[in-house]
Amino acid sequence: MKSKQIMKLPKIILVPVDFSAGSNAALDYAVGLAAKLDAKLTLLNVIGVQMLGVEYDMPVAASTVQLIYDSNQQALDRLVTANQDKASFATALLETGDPRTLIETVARKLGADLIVMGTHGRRGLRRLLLGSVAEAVVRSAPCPVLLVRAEEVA
Amino acid sequence: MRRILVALDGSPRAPQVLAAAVQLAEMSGAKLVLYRAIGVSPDLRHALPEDARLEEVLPRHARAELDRLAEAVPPTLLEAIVTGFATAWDGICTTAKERDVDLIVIGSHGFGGIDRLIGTVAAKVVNHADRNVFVVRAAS
Repeated sequence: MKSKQIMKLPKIILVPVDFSAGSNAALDYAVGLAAKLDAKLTLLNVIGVQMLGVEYDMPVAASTVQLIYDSNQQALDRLVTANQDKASFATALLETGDPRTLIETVARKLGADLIVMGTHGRRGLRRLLLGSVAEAVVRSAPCPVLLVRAEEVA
Repeated sequence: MRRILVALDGSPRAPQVLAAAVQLAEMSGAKLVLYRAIGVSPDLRHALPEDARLEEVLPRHARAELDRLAEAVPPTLLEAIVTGFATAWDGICTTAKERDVDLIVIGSHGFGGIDRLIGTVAAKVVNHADRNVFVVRAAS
């Protein structure tokens, strides 16, 4: 078997981030990987529609929406600044929608050949509610997915 | 990275998943533990004659299939071949822990259709494993 040909080495790595400890661990991993493989990283932060109140028909002031945007944009910029000496970044995207489908959509658009993302090791109800993004990405992604497990936080 | 568990099943995609794991092992200097869970459908019990010894026949069959797959693995990269009676996702997570692996490599079904509905082993492993998981997208 010619194993060399089964997977080409990733050149475009998509890293969905949500600024949690788990996502930071995944980014560290991706930065190390990108440096080794000479790949380019794209960060993606998705502002969930629920956060904007859409799902619950709850009106949210435009100023609040702007606040979320601005603070997430700054957080994204900080991640790039902190890591740009270690690996090369193509871009950092800020999108609004459902992360479960947007990550797949962006991966296809970019032609990503690897997605690196964090998982949280949640238990019980929290897993049921929150663990589903990684699961959805695994089901639908057009490329391999590396899930980095953060150290369990009590 | 020292050790990678490769979760394999009897599907036609297994060789692709294994090939990806071999590549990762070569790149990282890790050794491979090949794992296959053996499950018994309740229907199968009733379909077989009384004296059929599933607990002997099935592991032998699974082991033979794994041995055949393992022929594609460079001997220096192969650490162990393991089978066990378990629900697939549970067996994978438990064995990963027992063998103290750094990474689980598993295939994902998923080019729409029914696979999208039933390809839940990878998703379960992702949710339950307490270590890193690499999900290989194998063409069906």
